[in-house]
Amino acid sequence: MFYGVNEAEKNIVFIFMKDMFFGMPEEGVRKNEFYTEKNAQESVEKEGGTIWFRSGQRNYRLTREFGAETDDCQLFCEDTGKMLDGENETLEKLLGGISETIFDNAVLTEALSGNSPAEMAREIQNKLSILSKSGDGLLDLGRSEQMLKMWRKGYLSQKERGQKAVLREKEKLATELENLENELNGLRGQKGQVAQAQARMYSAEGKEEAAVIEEQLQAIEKKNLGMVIAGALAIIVGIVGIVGSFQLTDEMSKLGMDVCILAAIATVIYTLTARRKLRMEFVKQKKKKAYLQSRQEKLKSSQEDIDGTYEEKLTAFTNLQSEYQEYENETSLPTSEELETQALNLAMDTIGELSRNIYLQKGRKIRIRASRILRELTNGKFMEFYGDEGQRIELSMEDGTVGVEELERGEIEVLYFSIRMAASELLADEKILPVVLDDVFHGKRKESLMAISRWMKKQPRQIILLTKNENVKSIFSGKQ
Amino acid sequence: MRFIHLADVHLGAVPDRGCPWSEKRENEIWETFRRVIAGIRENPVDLLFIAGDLFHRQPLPYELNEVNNLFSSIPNTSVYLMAGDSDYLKGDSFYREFSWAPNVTFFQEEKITCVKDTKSDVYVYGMSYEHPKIEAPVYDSVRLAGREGVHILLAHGGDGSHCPVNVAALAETGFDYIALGHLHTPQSLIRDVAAYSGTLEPVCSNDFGEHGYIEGRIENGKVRTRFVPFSMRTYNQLLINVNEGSTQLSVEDTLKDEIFRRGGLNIYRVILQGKRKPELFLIPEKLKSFGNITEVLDETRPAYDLESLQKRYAGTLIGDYIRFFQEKNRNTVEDKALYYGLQALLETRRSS
Repeated sequence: MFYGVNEAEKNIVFIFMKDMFFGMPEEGVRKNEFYTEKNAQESVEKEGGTIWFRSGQRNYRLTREFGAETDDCQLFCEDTGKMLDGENETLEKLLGGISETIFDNAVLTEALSGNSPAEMAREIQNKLSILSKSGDGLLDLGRSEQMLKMWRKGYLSQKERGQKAVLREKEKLATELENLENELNGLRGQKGQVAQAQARMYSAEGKEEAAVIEEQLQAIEKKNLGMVIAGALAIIVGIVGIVGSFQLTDEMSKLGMDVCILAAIATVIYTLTARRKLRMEFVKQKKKKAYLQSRQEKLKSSQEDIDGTYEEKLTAFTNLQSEYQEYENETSLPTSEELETQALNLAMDTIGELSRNIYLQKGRKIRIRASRILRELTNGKFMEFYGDEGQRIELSMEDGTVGVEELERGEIEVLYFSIRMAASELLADEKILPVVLDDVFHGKRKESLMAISRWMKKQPRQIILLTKNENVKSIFSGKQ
Repeated sequence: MRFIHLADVHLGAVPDRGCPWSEKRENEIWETFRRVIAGIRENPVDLLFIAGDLFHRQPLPYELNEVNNLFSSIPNTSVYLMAGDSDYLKGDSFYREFSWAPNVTFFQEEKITCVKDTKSDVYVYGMSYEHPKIEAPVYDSVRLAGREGVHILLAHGGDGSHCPVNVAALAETGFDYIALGHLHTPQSLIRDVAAYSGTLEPVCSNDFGEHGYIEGRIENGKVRTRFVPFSMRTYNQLLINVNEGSTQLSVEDTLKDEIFRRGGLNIYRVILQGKRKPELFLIPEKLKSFGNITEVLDETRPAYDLESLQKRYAGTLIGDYIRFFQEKNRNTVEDKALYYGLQALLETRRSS
């Protein structure tokens, strides 16, 4: 028991033990590296001393000095008189292979910091939960999870932004495809119209129209020929009439010739008029024919143009479809944000799984072991307690249960003490390590403290008690 | 006699679709091709070989017209052109019916044919792809049409699905020069005899390094070649080393300096490597604003001594966590998970 030591002196007891067994802490090593780099030898952190300890029925003396780039470690077995190699592995074996963190959690028990029973109850709940699930009372699994989720959220936001950009680009491509498709549909429509017009043109009706025009042209030509012949004949008759009227002497014959001349003149006038009409009709029919032909040519040319444009647009459409597909394939590959998110999910899942394993293997036994110690210390008043997974701790008594926050401060200290003793045994895999109790008791409940004192004296382990409390001092020194 | 060998121009490609420089890149691919032709106008060569994939996809009539106009502006240069696997001769390809300028020879069939150059004693062999893949090693068994003159083969391929190329077999064919296309990185297979010119402008983010064309001279029946870097931009992979003294600001400064040194027009993929101090949280996304950066990969790890941590925390959750991952043959995700979880557990652990 160390009585009356101040805070700094209390810390040294445990820190000294830990550093002697496990080496200079990282912070000190880093400081020394910094000082060495800056050639500031005078600032180098130095630690050292001698500790005597007993392990496996033998007594040892460990002397150690730390400084910049030094760790002078001398391990001497007092029973055999032999100097051991002092390397950490030997020391490790003597310590039963426990790690520095287990040593932290199994050896040192600090006082609860809460002022009220409610605060102390919450503190015990947290400590019990964390010890049961991780074996390390300084971890904060809740905050770890929050940190991982926060990182994940960042990557998911990034991924979302990236996906939006990809979507925008795909929409652009889709719009271009749609436009091209509309143009192709338009062209198909035009092709259809042209085809229909051509079909009409080359249908029976169309052909008939062309044939009719052709027939009419031929008929006009025939008629024209007829008129030409008639006109020629009329001219001949006219000439004969004129010649005859001069040659013939009798009046009847002269009259006849006159009639012939008149008939000839009438016929010529008629044929000329008729031919003029026929010419006009011929020109009209020719125009009709030319119009039909030009329509056919126009349709053919339209068809070729439309086909050409259609083929070009179709190729452009196919090209753009390939472009879209390629872009889709590229953007469907896992992004760096997805990899990061997968890694974060894996980290969270693994922490959860390992934490569960620790609880199943050791953690839940802490509650059972602590309940036994509590039962012993309270003489059966509290038989068992529940709530080692972060929920409210309840203690079962003969006539019911009571929440931990309803207990008196002294009783809470007993519960806390039971939990830490159980943890000390189980975390160290039943190896017997000393425990350092740092101002754990506030000396209010004498019976509890005496029960604890009696319990401690039965323990095989060394107990180092640090206190400023007069009551605690008297009880544990046996003066009460 | 001088020639230029280029390939894989990929006119019509839109590299890095979605990035701010993408549209410019599409134009730059055309522009660089025009610059090559302009260069030939100013400093004429006798032969221009284009070993496939002039176009990125099926060429459209206006594109063929544009290219043909360019070829017709260099009437004293004989142009030899073939279709590759990207712009292969589909049944309805506009290549098939297109009328090229008199100085252009386009290899129309998927069968190696030989054409004697009208102005010189050069025999050019080539064929076009009529299918997107040709798995037979068609170039291994090509034989020269005769012993006289200079024999040049235009070839497109070199991987399992596109005319696989056997270097030894190529060497035995006896060609004076083999102008290869398909692989985007310029490389020499047989010095001054067989080479890939690579893409004229890089078309995808994996086309690192210099790009351009190959310029050759034929003197006394011997060919001498040199690579001419000609692209407007290059793709680069930047490795930025991070150490325990680095901060976000120092990493940004290093990146800015590197980009300035290598050229702000170029396009970069940034990889951060090294061991950083654990409390430093880099923001890779912020680095993208310092240049044309397609991607920032954070491969840094917190500078944890895993062995020492495992020893220190053995028997607790942290020790179990490290051991769980150390026992695996970790892939990228598992490696990241190890450090993420470890950092979260250590950063939130209260000090003793």
